[in-house]
Amino acid sequence: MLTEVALTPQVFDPENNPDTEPWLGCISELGHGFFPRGGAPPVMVANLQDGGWAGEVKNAVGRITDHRARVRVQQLASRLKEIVIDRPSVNYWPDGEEGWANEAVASHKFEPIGRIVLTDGFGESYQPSAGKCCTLKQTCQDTFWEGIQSSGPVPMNIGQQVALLRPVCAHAHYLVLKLPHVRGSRDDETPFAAALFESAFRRSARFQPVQAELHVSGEGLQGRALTNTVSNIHSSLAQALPRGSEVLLCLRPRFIDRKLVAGILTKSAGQVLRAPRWAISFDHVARPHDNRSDATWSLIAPQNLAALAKDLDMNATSLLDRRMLHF
Amino acid sequence: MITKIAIENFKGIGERVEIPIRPLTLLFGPNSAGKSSIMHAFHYAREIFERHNLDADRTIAGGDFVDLGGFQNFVHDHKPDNVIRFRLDMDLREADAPEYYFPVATWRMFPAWSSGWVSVEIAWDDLRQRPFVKSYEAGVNEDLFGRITCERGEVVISKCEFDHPALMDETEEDEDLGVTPLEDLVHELDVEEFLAGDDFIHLLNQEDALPPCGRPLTIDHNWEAEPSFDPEGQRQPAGAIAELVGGLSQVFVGMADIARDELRRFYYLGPFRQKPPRDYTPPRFPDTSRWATGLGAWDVLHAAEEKLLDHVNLWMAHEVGLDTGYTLQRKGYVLLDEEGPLYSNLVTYRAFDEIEDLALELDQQPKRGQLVLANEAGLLLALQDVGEGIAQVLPVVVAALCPDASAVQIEQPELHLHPKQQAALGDLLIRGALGKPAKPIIAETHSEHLVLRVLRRIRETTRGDEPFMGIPVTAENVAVYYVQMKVGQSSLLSIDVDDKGEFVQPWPDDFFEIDFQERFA
Repeated sequence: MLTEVALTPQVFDPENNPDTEPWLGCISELGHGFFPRGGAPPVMVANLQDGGWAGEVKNAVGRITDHRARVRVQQLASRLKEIVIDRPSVNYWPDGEEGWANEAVASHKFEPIGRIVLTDGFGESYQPSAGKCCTLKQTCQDTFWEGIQSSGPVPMNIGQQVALLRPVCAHAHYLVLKLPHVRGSRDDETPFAAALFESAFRRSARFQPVQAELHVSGEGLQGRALTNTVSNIHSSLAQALPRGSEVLLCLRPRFIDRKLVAGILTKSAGQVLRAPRWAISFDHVARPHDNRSDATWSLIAPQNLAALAKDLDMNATSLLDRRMLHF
Repeated sequence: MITKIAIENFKGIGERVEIPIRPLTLLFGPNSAGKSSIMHAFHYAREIFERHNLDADRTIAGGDFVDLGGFQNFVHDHKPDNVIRFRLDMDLREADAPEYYFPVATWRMFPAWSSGWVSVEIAWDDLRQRPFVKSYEAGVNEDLFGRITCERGEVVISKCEFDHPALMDETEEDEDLGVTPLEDLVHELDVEEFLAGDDFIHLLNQEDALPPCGRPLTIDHNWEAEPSFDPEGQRQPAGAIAELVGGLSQVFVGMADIARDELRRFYYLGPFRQKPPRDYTPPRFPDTSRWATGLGAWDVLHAAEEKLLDHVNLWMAHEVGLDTGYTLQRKGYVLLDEEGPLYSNLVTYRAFDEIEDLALELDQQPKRGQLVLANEAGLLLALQDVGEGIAQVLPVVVAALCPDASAVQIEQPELHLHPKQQAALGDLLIRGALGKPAKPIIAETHSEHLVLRVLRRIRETTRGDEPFMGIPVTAENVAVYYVQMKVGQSSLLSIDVDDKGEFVQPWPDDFFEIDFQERFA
């Protein structure tokens, strides 16, 4: 599933990659892996130092004089903005590749980063205090890409499933979880929802707080049945969620699909807008007592995100009801 | 100014789509997805309000370029049972009050109107084998004012909100009582008597539900009773009826008139611009239909003030503009008959003996104007002698800068242009949409370079950089729509732009990824 990758800006710098051909080969490999044709990018790229990393990458690309190399690297660098997520700075402004590597490792200690990629020249001698560091040429090996995939089988265990979604839980500014069988019971999909939101709310104070939304099937729920169901869901979530957190519960007409849509908040003309960045389709999610051996999850391609986000609009007139649950 | 159009059952558009119009509205999408249908919807709307041409094939705005083919061709799915619906929302803050049409209505209603809308339903009449306006609605400040319907040839005001808050007369004492002048009138006229027990107000002298533009409604009334006079006893029965007619007309007809006037000044520039012939002569009367083929731009330039020509040249030649290397020059020629005495006197120098007479003679000869292009070396060239890109872009430049249009629709503004010039087109469209005079621009385009320039200007504005051309651009100024065809229907997806000049929603196709995929494949 989704994996977070940090790269030092020197990975894009011609001065740190004197062998042009192998360097461009690795850049192509990253391009293929990060942006599979027709599929969803299975990685997030850490924009270290509160986004200062992106500026350093831009400067590095600007130093490329070889036209062919410049076009190739610029193409990748310009598309990275679609998958970067800002990470708060930990150390002072990094000086050189060692500084950036140390920044990535220090940031990893706050919130794990799946891979930290360094240039070949520097990476071979670097001794990290934590984190999974590798050199640029290792990105051309299959081992680097293990577990980084747009779709695949996942174990039917709530803890393991939520762990796979940790990058989204940690970085999304908002999460919309759509599950059909949530009634507040211990045997339905409520425990999965609770665990997922718990993971999302459990983030460093340096990260932006998250808005959580749970869309459930509310067909036929009226009067007392509706009140009881909402109350049960609230009680079940309350056991997992920290005090002060909030979840918007949206009751929809009957549906059978399971989705998670997440993204970042951005401003446009004085309004805060939701920019969808990641979406996952689940054929099943784990329940506490589940007999299934596994499920298949797929990241949803970016070209389908806008329509999906529109479908999950919390202000949609098709919603049967919505309640803000306070904990 | 038209701020939104809603379309239903027109061409590829089945279910209702609403398109809010911003100063710069960009339509993207695959070929034949329905982008042009949106453009054509404006043309058809103009036909409806200007000429009551419901079975339109050729349109005024589309000129020689657009042929809608008649109702049965453009109704969605070609099913005559489908009802075409349009709604136009308008910003009335700078619109002229329509009350001059109906001076009898003396209440000052209009100042309270900040926006208004008209909505029409066009259906097929099986009996007469032609389309008719089945229903017409007018609204003020978002709320419905009234509806006129046409059923089996009977035209009635089937709904009217006499107590519409926007009709409150701020100058009248009744304001305190919350009674509108129209409500007051209806009460005074004893509406039940007035309507002779009917539920509706019947209308005469109109073919269907669309009110006659530019003239008041004609009410079929059966009113003979004495009205109750106001305390001063000043109002006369005939005057009261006329005032009611005036009031109803002011909203129903006035709103249609505003829509018509707005649509009349929509300039449409089609996707292929023609070069004027070498012996081109501009028409003596402006003809907006010539914009569809781009010739309208040449007509405007011929008659334009020097200032417009200077602006066009600045954009054509300056390095921060399109940098084409060409400027336009207006040349005037006197036509001389080779067989005539003046010509023979000139070639034999005899004419110069009487120099004052010569000037007079020359002034009386027929003249012709011609627009030519001058390249950087000063060589004058006819438009036929330069590259296609110049011929295609020049009408775009004129349309963007022309002060006469209320709005401009352009298909493929980037046609035949180099990528750098496509980016500069982004600035040109910004200038047209947000400069002075500003006019909304709706452009159908496939140009990534154009949209990237617009996004860059938004980013620069947010960052506080000196605005290019002194025109700040915000996310609010730009609307981007992606039109796509799904299961035989055009649908519209709004792609928001944030203050950082980035798209909020991911692009629905490979539009911005083609280069990447080609290079990394």
